[in-house]
Amino acid sequence: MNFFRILFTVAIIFSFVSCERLQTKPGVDFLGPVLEVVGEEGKLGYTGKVINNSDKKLTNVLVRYIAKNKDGKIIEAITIPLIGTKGLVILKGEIVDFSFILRSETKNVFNKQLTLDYIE
Amino acid sequence: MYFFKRLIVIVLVQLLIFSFIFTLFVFSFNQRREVSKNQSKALASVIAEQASNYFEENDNNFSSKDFFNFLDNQIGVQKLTNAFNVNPPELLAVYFRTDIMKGIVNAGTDDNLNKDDNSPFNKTNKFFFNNKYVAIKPFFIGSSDKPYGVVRIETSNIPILTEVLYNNGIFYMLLFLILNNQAFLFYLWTKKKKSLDLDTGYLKESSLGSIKIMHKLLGDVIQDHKVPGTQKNNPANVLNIDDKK
Repeated sequence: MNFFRILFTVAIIFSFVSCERLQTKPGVDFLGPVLEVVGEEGKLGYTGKVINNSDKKLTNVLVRYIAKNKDGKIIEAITIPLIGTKGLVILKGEIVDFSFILRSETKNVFNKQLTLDYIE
Repeated sequence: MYFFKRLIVIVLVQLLIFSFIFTLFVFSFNQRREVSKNQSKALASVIAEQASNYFEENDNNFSSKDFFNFLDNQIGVQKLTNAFNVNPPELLAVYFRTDIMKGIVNAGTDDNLNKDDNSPFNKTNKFFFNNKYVAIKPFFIGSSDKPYGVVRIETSNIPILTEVLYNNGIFYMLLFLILNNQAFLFYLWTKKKKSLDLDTGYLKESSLGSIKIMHKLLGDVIQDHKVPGTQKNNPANVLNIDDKK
């Protein structure tokens, strides 16, 4: 009887430590790397593609960009809404292009952070 | 003080077990990171080759969107993403030598446009380690000795960290339980046996005291239940300890 009790306890413990939460859920992702170039005016420009990997259509998909200087302070933050074939709604499996240019001086940008946000 | 000493020993044993598991984790993480580094270097070489082809054809007519589509047509960004699986490159940068030399952009390179490992542009410290890997590859046009520009690829190591934990989490948990079990068995093995007290034999003084009390209580109970004539009728049912003395 004690053996089954221990087995039951261990099973409960293991169900909580299965690390399932560490696996990323399907949603919107960058399709390939985001391309960064220096434009004609010496400003950084970004071009990339985003794909909807989920089973649902997603609305208000936003690309957020944060640029930080060498002290770790934010010098520029940009939020761009992605527009698909149906406007702000991105259909299942749809690929959407985006591009934007920074206003900050390129040499001051030390750290860059690109993230995606959306509403199901 | 006795319990405090025991607590210290337990904490030390747990720290030892955790440090052993952490060493295994770091070993797995470094192995996976090396694979990712090699992938990034290979990808930088492939894109540098494509950049050479593109800029030979479109020297004065550069457009980042055209270049991106050119890469997509030549090697396919979908294939790129699938090849990297866990941690695809986050940022692919193409910088021209003229911009780097003028100081417009800092590519994290030295004077020969090779990667400068000490440059702060190539490091991002978070969670107590550098979680960014940068691969830099210069590209050339025609027969020029000097590079036309560099291809720079940034990848994050954080997805590798979570992947190693996701794949090995149960193994680390089991290892923790097994090592704790082994530590407990080792404690039982080294536990000192109780020494015999020569004055009182195998019984301690406290045990003797309790037996004496029990003996007195039983004697009193038997005495209370003694009914004249019962002993004669069925003497085998009652045991008088006092009589046996």
